[in-house]
Parts: sequence; structure tokens; C-alpha cells
Amino acid sequence: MTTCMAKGHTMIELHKVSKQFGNGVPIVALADVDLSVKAGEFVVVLGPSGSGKTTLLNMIGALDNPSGGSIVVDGFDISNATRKELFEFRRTSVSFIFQSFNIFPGLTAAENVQFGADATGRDGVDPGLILESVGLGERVDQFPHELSGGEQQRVAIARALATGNPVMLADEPTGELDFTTGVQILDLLQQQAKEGQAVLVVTHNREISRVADRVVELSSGRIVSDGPPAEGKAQLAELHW
Amino acid sequence: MKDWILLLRWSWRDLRKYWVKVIAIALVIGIGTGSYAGLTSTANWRRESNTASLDLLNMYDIRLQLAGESSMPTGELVAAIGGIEHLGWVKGSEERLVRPTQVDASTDGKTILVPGLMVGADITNGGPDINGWYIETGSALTAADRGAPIVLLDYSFLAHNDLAASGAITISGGEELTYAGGAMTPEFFMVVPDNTSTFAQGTYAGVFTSLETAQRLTGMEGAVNDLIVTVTSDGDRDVVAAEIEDAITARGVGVDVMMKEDDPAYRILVEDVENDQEMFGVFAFLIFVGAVMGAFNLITRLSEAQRREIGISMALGVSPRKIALRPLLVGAQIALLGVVFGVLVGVLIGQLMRSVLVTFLPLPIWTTEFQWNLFFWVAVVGFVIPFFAAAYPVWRAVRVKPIEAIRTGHLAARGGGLAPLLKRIPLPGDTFAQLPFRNLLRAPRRAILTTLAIAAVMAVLVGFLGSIDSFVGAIDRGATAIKGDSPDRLVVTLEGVLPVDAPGVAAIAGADSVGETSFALQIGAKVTGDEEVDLLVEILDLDNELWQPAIIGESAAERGLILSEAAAKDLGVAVGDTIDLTHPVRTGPTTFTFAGSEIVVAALHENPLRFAAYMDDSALELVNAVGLANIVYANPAPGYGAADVQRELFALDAVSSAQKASASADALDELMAQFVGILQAVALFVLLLAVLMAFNSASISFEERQREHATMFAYGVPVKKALRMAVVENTLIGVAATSIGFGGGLGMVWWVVNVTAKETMPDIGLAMELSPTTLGTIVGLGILAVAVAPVFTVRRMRHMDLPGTLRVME
Repeated sequence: MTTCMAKGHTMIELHKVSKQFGNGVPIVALADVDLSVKAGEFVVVLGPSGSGKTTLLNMIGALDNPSGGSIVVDGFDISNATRKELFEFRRTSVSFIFQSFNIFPGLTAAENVQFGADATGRDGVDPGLILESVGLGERVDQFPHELSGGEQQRVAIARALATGNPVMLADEPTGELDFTTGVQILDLLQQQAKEGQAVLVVTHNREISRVADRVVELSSGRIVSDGPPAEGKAQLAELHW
Repeated sequence: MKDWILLLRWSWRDLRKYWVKVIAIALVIGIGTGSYAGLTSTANWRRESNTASLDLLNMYDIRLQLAGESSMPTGELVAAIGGIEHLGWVKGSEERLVRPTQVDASTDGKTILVPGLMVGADITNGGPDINGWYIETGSALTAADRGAPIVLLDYSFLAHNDLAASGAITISGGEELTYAGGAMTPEFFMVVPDNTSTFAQGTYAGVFTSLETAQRLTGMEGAVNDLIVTVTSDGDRDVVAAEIEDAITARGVGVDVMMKEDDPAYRILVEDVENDQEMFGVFAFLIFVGAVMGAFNLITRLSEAQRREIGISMALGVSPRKIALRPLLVGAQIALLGVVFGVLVGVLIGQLMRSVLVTFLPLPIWTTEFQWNLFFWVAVVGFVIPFFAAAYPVWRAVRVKPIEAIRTGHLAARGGGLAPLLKRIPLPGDTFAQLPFRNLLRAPRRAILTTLAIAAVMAVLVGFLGSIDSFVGAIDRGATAIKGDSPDRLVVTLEGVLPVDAPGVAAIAGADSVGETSFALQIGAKVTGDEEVDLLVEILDLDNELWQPAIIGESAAERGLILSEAAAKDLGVAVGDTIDLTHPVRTGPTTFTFAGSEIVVAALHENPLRFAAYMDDSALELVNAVGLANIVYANPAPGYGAADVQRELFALDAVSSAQKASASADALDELMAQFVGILQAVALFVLLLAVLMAFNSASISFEERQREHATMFAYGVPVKKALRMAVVENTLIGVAATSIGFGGGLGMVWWVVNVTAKETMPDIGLAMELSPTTLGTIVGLGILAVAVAPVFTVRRMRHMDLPGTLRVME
């Protein structure tokens, strides 16, 4: 379903990336961040509010420009790309999952998924099949307001899958969900990583990091740790919050 | 107190944040209220100006004209009044001599040779007391001018022909006269010669002079033929009229009695105010309703953006009164600005309408003050709308639990509106093609209000332009029908009914500048069918090579009456039917009586003038006038123009007037051009209203859907594509609004053509017409202007803060 690179291939490469905000006294959101994520990796970026994790995700997804350093995603250096190239990059390389889902209220579940395919220009995508893969096979014709929060987030994941892009970026994907639904979403994201996508999840929920392949911890815009979960990778069934 | 100050400061920030929208919405209200006030003000202006002008010049109540060529010695008409029973009801009376004439007012660069009417009256006091002469330009006549070759000309004739305030003219008989100035008088407030064509100020001259001068110039020394009378307020005019008529008839002279209300100038001037007002009122009301709907919709949407903030305030225990204050203050700002704009637009439209009125209806007194009374109530509505519109979402928000109002994300997801309706209707194209339709159906109330608001103003635009097209179309059709294959043809009116071989008539054909000629006899007649219609019948040789009326379809008979479509419609007859014609029959050299005949409707002609009718020359036997004519059609000889013919024929005794056949239509066309220009300026306001509403709607839609756009951009959808979707959505609104507006506008044109114009201008057969220019304007502006409105949001789309927008909960 997705156009994934071979596992182990580097999909995201950040070198000395920094980001400052403000014109007067600059606020440093990111400082000299080096990071690489391989295809098939499920990476959780962990940190408290204001640590720069969402800024990092926005940089990787080309939603924002870094103040310094270089970012190469899917072999494309986005640091100095033009506006047009960035649109093209987002269309072909990354797909987003947002905390507040951001699915289109005027489209049904299937149509929202179809949107992902249409945005990238992919033909032959069956939204029904993708929705079935995220457990919404029976809800294809429902509008967002007819779906629960967990279902809406699954539609958002299905939409991201429909793009077929090799990098999946998720910003607090379980932030608005209850525990059970949140675990279901994590399961889906893990599956995508297993299928070869580079999955980067940003969260402040330390519990989520326990099921990651790697945990990158940020504090005040700097990476303070990067490695497998301290207590070893846990199973989803072991999570609780 | 502090909290109120905070709220005020907060609302000030709102104003700064929304200032473009606040001004744009205020303009919508301003144009709506201003247009209403400006357009409806005209009725009051006209009523007040008519009354003031007619009072100033003391228009007659009763006019008695001696029949035919009859006249009586000076003083005898007044003497006849002296013997009537109710003399006490007679407030005043004046004898006059009124005779048709020809006027040569040509200047160096322009030939002006027109028929006219000479009015001789007592000028002992500087002018007549009844039907006075108001000097608009130049100087008045004095008692010393009695008998002198000095006259006044109708001011509107001077103005229309750009003539100097004083100068020289020549009249029938070749006498040169000095005109001292331009005067206005009630009979010429509307120039309606022979009750046939309106707005003839350019082609028909009023010549006002002393009774003595008129008597000398017409060769009717010591004679009068016209009596005008005013009646006291408690007097019965009908009784007075009947008694005077009897008194004059008893002296052996026939007399035609006309009451003030039957005077065509008075009728069109006074009575049509209400009809015109009805039309303007409908236009103004629609503009107003469109603006109200548009403003309500836009302000509601603006206030709804604060829904979550209202919820937070509720959660913090702020009273609904205080919660309502902020949105209401935005409403107040819009309301205040709207009223200011409304006054400005009202004054501007008023000035435009004033220039139309002053041009079309020159009066001594034009009262065109801003109608504060009228505007006050419109302003009240314009002021109240923003408050209601702002209060509505507040009222909705405070009725739900605070937790629901502040809820974010999926829990706040709203229903799909009517979008589910489209679920089972497969539309072609990908999701990008579907989204504009879905977005519209998601918020049906909003979409419908926006559509109807734009539709209302589009209806006005179609109504306005369509009505103009129908008028202009009728004039053009009339001109085309009259011109036929001889566009330069002149209609030479003879001094009376003359034998076609009379020397005077032969002199016309023999003039150097005259080419082909043919004769006609023009008679007044009446036909009776479903209603009674007055006709001006021209009896002519239908096989003549100079000009024949253009026939619609096939003739049913070789002989018979050729009617206009309008007359046939009003009479309820078709080609081949037989109708009763009351027509004159000649009983002596200059005397006629009336007789009735059954006549076949032989055909219909293309001239839209209802009274125009034709018969073949066999009908001359019917009126006992074989070999007689009172009209000669003449084409200029090769190398000569119409002006040459007019100049040469002016000197002939047998000629009463010589005019280009298309003169009236051309003059009306010229007048309409000014009228159309000004109405188009009003139409521009209407258009601006539609564009403003479309722009505001697009702008607010953009803000409401910022997160959706940001999501699209996050998925790499180009700005161009997102913009295209917004354009498609607006195009759908534009198409729907224009279609509804077009339908409504056509209804208005129908109403103007078939109801209003039928009452005000029964003699013009209007047909509903929409010119290609109008259609282009409506489609181009109604659909295109609305469709491209989102383009104004492209800068904001391009500079959107994607991360910030995507994370915003509300």
C-alpha cells in the first residue's frame, strides 16, 4: 500500500539544525540538532511543552524553515528548497497525522482517504481497503461528525497511508483520545513502521515512548538522549496512562 | 468598571483585527440603505417640486380651445364667462391666441427647423397670471414689448439644442424675431406635441409672446382662440367648465374643454410620479433586502468566530450581558459606519437622480433636499441589523453548556449540513472537485443567505438594465420602422388638408432639394375592441416606392387597417378580424364629421407606437377625401440633405413643418443616452454591492476554513489548487445567484414592461428585451466577479502560518 524504502535506508537526516523565533530577543526552539531516522523505524520524540519537539516535526515536514543546518528527507535537501519544491516534497515524501485530526468535515471517511491519494496524484487507491486495514471497513460512508474521536484519527491515519509517502509524521496523535483508542492508534503506527515506513511520533506522553524502536528526548531545543527505550521495548498491552 | 474598560479595549482590538471586513460590511449596509433612501427620495422631490412649480406659475384648472380654425374677438371669451351661473367659483381667466408655427432656430453649425406652438398672452404685467412664464435664462418680456417682434422660447428647447440665452429665430412666414430668454410654463413642463410623443423638447418649440404680437404674426388681428380658467378651492370645476362651454357654444362657436388632469404635460408630470415611484421602490427595496441579508450573514459569521471565546467566558462565569458586549460592539462599529456610508451613498445617488430629473423634467423649482425623514427609518433598520446579526450567534452560544462551547477537535465537529445528500450522487472528478459542492452544502443556511443576497442585487441589475434595454429597443424598433428603406425621408406637414395637385403642394415636389415624394392623409380615429384605442391613421399608397410601413408576417387583406402589435393586443384582435373604426368624414372644404365603419385588420406593422396605424389609399373614399393630403413624404434629391429640404420648404406657404421622419425617435434616443448613462452609474453601485458581498463572503470563508487549507498545504496541495476550489465554490454561488437574480430580474422587467409602462406610456408597445451587452454584464459581473472574489485571499493563503494554523484548536 505504501511506497516504502528498504528497511535500514536513512530516510531523515538532520545536521546541526537550529530554529530561532522572534525579532528582538530570539527564542531558541532548536539548537544544533543532529538526527537520523531509517526506513522501518518507529521513533518517538519525547519532551515537555516548549522543548521544541513540534518545531522539529514541522521542520522535517517542511512546514517551517530551519534557521540553520540541513535537513535531508527521502534524499531531498529541504533546507534550501524553493516554495514550489517544498510543496512537491510534501506531496511525495511525507504524510501528516495531527493531534486534532484535521480531516475534512464535508467529505466522508472514504473520501477523506481518497483525498490523500488525490493530493499525491496516486491512481488505483481503494479507500475502502485502507479503511478496512485501520479497522473502519464498516464506516466508509460516514461523515466525520458521525465518527468517534478514535475513528476520526484512524481516518486521518488512513488518509496519510493513502498518500503512499515513505515518511509518516505524527504530532501528538493520541493527545485527544482515551487510553484504549490511543493504544489502537499506536498499534496502527507501529504496523506502518513494520511495513517499512519511517514513522516519527511527537508526544509528551512518556508511556508512549516505551513501545518505540528509538526514543529521542528533547529539552530546551536540544537532544538530551537518543536510543532505545531505557527499560527495553514494551508491548502495547503493557502500556497504561 | 475595570472589566468594562477591558471589554472596550478588547473590542477596539477586534476592530483593528477586522477593519477591512468592518468597512466592507458597513459599505454593504451603506449601499443598501443609501440606495433605498436615494431612489425613494425622488417621489417626494417630484411631488414637492411639482406642487411648488405649478403653484408658482398658477396652472389653469380648465382650458377651453375653440374648435378648428375658429376664433373670437379679444374680450369675448372673458365676456362669455361673465354670464355663467357660478361666476363666483371662477378665480381667474385669461384669453390667449394659440397657433401652431414653424421655428427656424438654426445656428452656424446646426440646422434647427422644428414645428412649434405660439402662445400669445397678456403681458401687461410682464407675463400671464395663469400658466405664467418663469424666466430660467435671459430676460422677461415687459408691457413695452406688446406687439413687438420679441418672444420667449421654451427653456427646455433652448437647453436641449444648446442655444444661447437670447438670440434670433425665424418663424413661419419668414418673419425674424428676437427671443429674449428661455421660459418655463406648465404646458411645457413635459413637451408632448399633439399628445403623441413625449420628451419632444428638442424637436418642438414653445414660442411665448404678447397677445398683440401673436395676433400680428398669425394674421389674426384682434382674435383669441383659447381660454384658461382657474377655479376657487370650493368651486366645482366640472360645473364651471360645463357652464363656460355652454356660454361659448351659445355664441355659435364649438369648443374643446380640457381639465388640468387631462393635459398631457400635467398627467405625465404629476400622475406618473406614483407609477415611477412604484418601480423605483421595488428596485430600492430589493437592493435593501439584498444588503440586509448580506450584512446579516456576514456579521453572523464574523461573530460566530468568537464562539469558543464566548464559551470560555461562560465557563468563567461572565454574565451573558457582558459576553454579548464584545460582538455587539463590533456590530455597533459596523452600524455606525454603515449609517455614515448610507448618508454618503444616499446623497450621491440622490444627486445622480436629481440630474436625471432636472434634465428630463425641467421645472422652475426643484426641491431635492436630503430626505432625512425617509432616511431615518432606513438608517434605523441599517443600524439595527448589525446588532441582531451580532447578537444571534451570542444568543446561540449562551444557550449551550459552556463545555460544549469551548469543546475543541472532534468533539466540536459539526454536522455535515446537507452534504450527506451528495453522498450517493456520484460527481465526476476527484475529491478536489467534490469539495466545493460539499463545502456549500455543509452550511446550507450560510450558502442560501449569501446566494439570495447576491441574487437580490443581481435581480435589480437585470431589472434595471433590462428595463433600459426594453425602452431603448422600442425606440430603435420605432426608428427602424419609420426609416424603412428611406432613412432620410422627411415628413412634410401641410397647412391643412389640401388637394395633391394644389400649387402649394406641387411646389414641394418642385423644390430643388426634394427628390421623390408621395402623399398621405393623416387622420385621428378611434377603434373599439376590448378597450378603446386612439389612432393616428395615415392613409397612403401602399405601393409607393418611397416608403411603406414594414409589415409583420403576412397581410390578411389588401385593404383594411394596419395596426401596431400593441394596439392589436389591447384591442384583443388579430389579423383578419373586423373592428369598429370611428373616423372623420369630410363634409366640406375644411369641415369634417365623424362616422363609424367596420374595418378588417389587414396586417400588423413593426412600429411599437400603439397609436400608429395605416390604411391603403382606397380608404380615402371612406373619409371622402380622394385626391386630398395633409402629409407629403419627401426624400432629399441627390446631393441634398434633410436640412436643405427643411430650409427650402420653410419658405413655402403650404408647409406647416418639415421634419425628418426619424426626428422624434432620434431626439428620444439622444435623451435616453443621458438617462441610460446615469442609470448605469446607479447600476454600478448595485454591482459594487454584489462584489463586496462576494468578497466578504470569500474572505470569511477563507478564515473559517483556514485549518482545512493548512491541512491541504501540509499534504502538498498547491495554493493554486486550493484557490481553484474556492473559485469553484464561489462560481457555484455566482451561478446560482445570477440564475435566481436573472429570473427575478426578468420578472421585474416583465412588470415594468407590462404593468408600469402600460400605465405610464400606454402608447409605446414595449417588449421585453435584454441586449447582448446586458447579458454580458450580468454573466460577466454576476458570475465572474463573484467567482474571482477568493483571488483576493491568495496573499493570505500564501503567507499562512502552517504550523500555527494546524495546531489551533478552534
